[in-house]
Amino acid sequence: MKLSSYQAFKSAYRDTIEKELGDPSVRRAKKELIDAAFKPHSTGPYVMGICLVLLAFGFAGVYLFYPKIAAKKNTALEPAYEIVSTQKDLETLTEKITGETAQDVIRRPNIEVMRVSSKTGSTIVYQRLHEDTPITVVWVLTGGSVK
Amino acid sequence: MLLPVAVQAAGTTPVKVTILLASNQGKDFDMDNDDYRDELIKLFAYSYYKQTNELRVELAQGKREIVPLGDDFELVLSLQRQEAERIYLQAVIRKGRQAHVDTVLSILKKGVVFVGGPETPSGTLIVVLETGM
Repeated sequence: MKLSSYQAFKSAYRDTIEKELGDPSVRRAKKELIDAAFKPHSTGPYVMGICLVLLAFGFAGVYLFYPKIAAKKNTALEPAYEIVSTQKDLETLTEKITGETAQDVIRRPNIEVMRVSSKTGSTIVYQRLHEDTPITVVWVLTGGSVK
Repeated sequence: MLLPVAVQAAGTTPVKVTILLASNQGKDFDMDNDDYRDELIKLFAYSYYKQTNELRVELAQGKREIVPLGDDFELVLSLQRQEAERIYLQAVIRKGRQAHVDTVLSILKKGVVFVGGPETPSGTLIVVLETGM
């Protein structure tokens, strides 16, 4: 059957296009064009994803473990007064106030505050040296002026 | 046992008690016991100190001594125990049944303790306890 002129043209056109596109040099050029225009996937999204996952783990850890850590340091459970109940505590307290070393304190007569409490306010205990004698102050804070 | 003179009964521990009232009404040191004037200046921010009483208390183990402080306050001292040269002393400043300060002290030989803070109409109470005198 003889093809119409249109169909012949169409067939010739398709053959020509396929021949042109199938040429190795054309394929190579097409590949180079695609590589140049469309860069390969960057690692940025993957790194960002990892960071977000680690951040999520961090928040989870804080949420799960912080209450236990905070409970150990819960100052609301601490007494409202400072008890100097051991020699080491007294030496440390004295060192803070007077700047003297613990050895100096041990050589002097010492006072230990075994217990202190008040029904009317918070109490504080501190000590300073007066000549050869440490002076210990046990004070209840009801609005008095203490330096 | 409250004694105005330096007499120590057998088996007792003497404690010197000086009672002060501190305030910021004026600038003066009205005190017979001047030993701790400098320390009062360094420790507290008051400008006026008045000594209201000074006495010597002989503490026997297990017995309480009550020292009036004025304005219905009182100091209760009790010697809890003695070990060689160390004494365990409880000092309570109270008004009625309310303890403003309650402390137990372990004192080796000579010691000075300032116990205070309660407010009175006349000023802030400071009690100076001296042991080993």
